[in-house]
Amino acid sequence: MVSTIYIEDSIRGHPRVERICSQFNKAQIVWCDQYTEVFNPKAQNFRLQKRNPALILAAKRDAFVMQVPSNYGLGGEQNYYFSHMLNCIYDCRYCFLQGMFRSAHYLLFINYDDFSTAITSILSDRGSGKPAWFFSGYDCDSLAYEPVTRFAQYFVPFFGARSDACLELRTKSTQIRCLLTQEPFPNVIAAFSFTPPDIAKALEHRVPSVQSRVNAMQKLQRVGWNIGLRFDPLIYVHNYRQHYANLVKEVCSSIDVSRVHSVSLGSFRMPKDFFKTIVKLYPHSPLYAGPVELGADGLMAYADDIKDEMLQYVTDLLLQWIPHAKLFNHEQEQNAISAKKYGLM
Amino acid sequence: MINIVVALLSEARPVIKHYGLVLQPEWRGFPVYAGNGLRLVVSGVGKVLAAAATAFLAGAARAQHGPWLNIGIAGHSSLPIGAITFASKITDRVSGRNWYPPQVVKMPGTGVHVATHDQPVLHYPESVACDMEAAAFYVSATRFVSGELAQCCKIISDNAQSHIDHITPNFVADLIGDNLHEIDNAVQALRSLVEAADHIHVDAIDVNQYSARWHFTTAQKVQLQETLRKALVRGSAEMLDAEQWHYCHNAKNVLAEIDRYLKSLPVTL
Ligand code: SF4
Repeated sequence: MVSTIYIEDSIRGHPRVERICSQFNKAQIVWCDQYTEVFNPKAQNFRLQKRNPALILAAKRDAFVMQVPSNYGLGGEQNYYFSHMLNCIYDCRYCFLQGMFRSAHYLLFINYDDFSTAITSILSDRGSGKPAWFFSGYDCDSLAYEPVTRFAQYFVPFFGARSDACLELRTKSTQIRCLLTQEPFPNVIAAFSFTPPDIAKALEHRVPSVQSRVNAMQKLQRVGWNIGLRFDPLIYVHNYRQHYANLVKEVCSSIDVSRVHSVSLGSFRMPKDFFKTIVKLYPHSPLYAGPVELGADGLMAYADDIKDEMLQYVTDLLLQWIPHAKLFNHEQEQNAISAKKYGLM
Repeated sequence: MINIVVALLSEARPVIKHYGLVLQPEWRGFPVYAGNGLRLVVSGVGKVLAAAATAFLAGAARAQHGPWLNIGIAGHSSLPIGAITFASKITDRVSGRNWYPPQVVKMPGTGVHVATHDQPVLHYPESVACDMEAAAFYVSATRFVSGELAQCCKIISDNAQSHIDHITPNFVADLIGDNLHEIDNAVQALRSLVEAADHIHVDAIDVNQYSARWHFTTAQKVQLQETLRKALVRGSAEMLDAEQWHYCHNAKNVLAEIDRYLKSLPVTL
């Protein structure tokens, strides 16, 4: 439960602010000039703050929509991401947000209309062509904080009404009520991320179990929503084959795989500076004492032999269930093993 | 070690008595009292002295990892005399800069906006506590620790109905004394937080055994530290013993051998 809410003075009285404050009526309210005064100062410890993060309500003023890195996407020609929220209510040890932000506070941009205007303007500038993709779970989990953000409640109908855009909601949560209470839209994908249960137990704190995520997917499929599977990051342990074989079997045998929209995978990787920051925050974490090294691309990642073998193995597992056209290797530009083998490139 | 900064001896006295702190005569520059895991410095009034005393205590005591608590009196337009508050926002009235000490643990009383002035304030702005040290204390303390570990506790000594002219040393001591229970709660809360922070901190691994045997360049020493950190996390404490690599001719060989050994260990979480 949030005990402090920082709010930018300029959004005092905004209906979304009022509604959120009434949800946390015991929280102390602290007014600030700009969210950056609270979120950006150097003298903050992400790990300590994660014990009791505050909520920051702010208005985003620019850079509403960004182009995604070139190796990220689901086959679309134009791919963008937008972040209504920075940080996450979960605490995954492999999460790059720990290394990217100094603060663990949940920063929520409440001016959704400005985001939708920016998206509309991108879409009208680009002319016709294949629908553009918009990814929403880049700097947070798209659905985990839905009871507070009502992000999906706003953006799902917005995208649903458009034929020129697709939305990916990326989540580990089971907050699917807002999807279950509306008609499914074919261009909105609820994509669920998975790591094997034992690995999740060690690394994904406060995250719903694999089983409850599977249950959530089943419910969504039953009423006609498109779902996606995300195995990213793949985490290496000495007996990873057994863990991933069980996971892929458990997930794929529980859902209608023929109606899965897409599956993507990528191994654990992270910019060097983020990695260094996280090692300082979690010097005792086995994940950061494993066989990870600096690659030529400037990313900290598993040694090539481990990475290639793992990607290949999990790809092979998935291809027993999913046609290769639906499988996306998010490292394909760095690592072409599966793509070449299965004719994806 | 918890570090407490107070401006006045009258503010300090009840705290000194409560925790059984003893004057440290060897400390010169500011009076410092210590005992029972606490260190208290009496800074004097105002921003310059508050910043100097905080830095003095941090530097002289090498107290980088301890949490910091500023205890003092403040004026407020409406809060009652004797109310205990903590700063959720601090403003330096001269520069206009703001700080927001992150509230990770429950501090006593109500969160308030504290505005630090250069002169005593006679007209109280609405809903703001006025003091003369908090901003300087916070800026100085957060040179040494992260903001979660630097908190300001203010006890209301004057308000629109009861002005500063009746504030005497005994009155101040009584205000602080009446709130010792709450102050102690703040101290305990910070103690629990510093335990978590200590858990994060790892002392540099002692590589003397290694550097006594082989010559490591500065870069190789960093690499050795990092490799040994990984080894310790993965449960190989015996790796700290340099003797096992006695057959290596130079630092490069040693690093390669440790690396080879690490690679041979099963990777678990
Ligand atoms: S769910 Fe995603 S965003 Fe949230 S902590 Fe885990 S990896 Fe990070």
